Amino acid sequence: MVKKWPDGPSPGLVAPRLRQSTEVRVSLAAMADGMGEMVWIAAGHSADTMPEAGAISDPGQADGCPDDGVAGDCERGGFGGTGAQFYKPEEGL
Amino acid sequence: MYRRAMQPRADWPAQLDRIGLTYHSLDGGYWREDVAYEFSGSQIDCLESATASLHRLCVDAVERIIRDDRFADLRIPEEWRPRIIDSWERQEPSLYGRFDFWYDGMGAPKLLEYNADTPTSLIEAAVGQWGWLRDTCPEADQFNSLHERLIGQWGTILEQASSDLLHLVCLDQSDEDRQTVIYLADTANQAGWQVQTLPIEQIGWVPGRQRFVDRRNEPIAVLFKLYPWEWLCQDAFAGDLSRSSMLVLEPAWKQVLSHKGLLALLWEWYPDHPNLLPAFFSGSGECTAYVRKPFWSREGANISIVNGDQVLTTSGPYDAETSVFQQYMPLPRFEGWHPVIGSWVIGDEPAGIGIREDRGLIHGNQSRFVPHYVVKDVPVF
Repeated sequence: MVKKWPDGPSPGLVAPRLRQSTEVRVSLAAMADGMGEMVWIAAGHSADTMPEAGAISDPGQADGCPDDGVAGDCERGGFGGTGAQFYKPEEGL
Repeated sequence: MYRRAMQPRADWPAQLDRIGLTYHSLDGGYWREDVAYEFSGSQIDCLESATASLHRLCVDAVERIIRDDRFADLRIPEEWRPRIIDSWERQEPSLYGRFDFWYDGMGAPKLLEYNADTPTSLIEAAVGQWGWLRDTCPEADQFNSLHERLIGQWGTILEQASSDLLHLVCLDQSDEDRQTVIYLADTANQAGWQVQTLPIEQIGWVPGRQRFVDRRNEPIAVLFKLYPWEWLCQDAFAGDLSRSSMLVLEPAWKQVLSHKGLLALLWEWYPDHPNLLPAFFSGSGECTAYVRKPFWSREGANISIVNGDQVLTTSGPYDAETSVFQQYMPLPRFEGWHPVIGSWVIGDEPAGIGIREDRGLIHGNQSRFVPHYVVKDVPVF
């Protein structure tokens, strides 16, 4: 039988390995404003308290596009549209 | 295989909240631990063997679909095909997938479908039921090396990637998807990746640079998207994907494996395989009872079971005109509940199972997750 148990074939003889990293999650939450909206909300904040996009972006990039001479070409919102047609929040999972 | 009554932990909601399984009580109770499924070691061997076997068949199937140009059978538009072929020829890596099995503990597991592109129920399978096992029956075992294998496979992908910055995205509306992505970010981070999560809607495209960027305008070199390829291919940025060098996970070649038409192709190529049910593109073959599954559908939507004069149908938003017909095999029944075994593949290896059960014969988004444990086989003298 190929190993399929997380702790080896004799559970209880070997200390369980960490299966969920609290430390990593905490570190993600602590830097939530740099991690994007999802982690910010997962860290217990509401979308209302999340920093505005301009506050997250570097100075001079308040439009959310790179300030490198091609900012005028930057486009957003081109992904997610098809899925939004199918997803119904009231369906839950 | 038994369905056993169990004593729930007094603080189980808090335990699940703590690990990110925040959606445990949706729809009147998604997670339940007042029951659990018990397996023997030999039954787990059987599930593991079926998973490994089907994974090999599926990898071969991708090669064969491309070689024999079977895209038309799957109604995959011509403009989508080069991306699939290219990702296969580049051997772009895969993180994970989940087979859904009919299984009653006695007969061979039968493939119901392969969630190859955007499988969920991951936190509950990898972490939720593991915590339950440790708290509730630590003397028992569990078919579950998901967490370790995820970290291992992220490490393997990191070795092949051009950047150690990984962006992970999903639709912003789904709590389950969001938590799943954050859990995957956690495992990737433990494998050495720098991680960044964001709603998929916030991805930007810079035509002048021919690159995608995140909310902070960092280039996206490696993207994990919990968002199906068939949706991605219909989005406004779809055409820009081929102009970008961004590595996408799951890779585009997984698109043909998450397609229900795969069931008919597998049956055509491997008839009478013990883990397959007869399946066809048109008509029901010689099956007197069959299940009609749309090529692209999710969470049990737009499924029809036809058994003689009896027809059981679920509603949904998907196109049922293009469907596959699979022999109907009624799900086993345990105290009025019908379980389906979700068997995970991480990289190329079987990695564990998660079980969902429903009182109905068609599983959907309200089917409940139930933990499992494994006991040693009783020697037969």
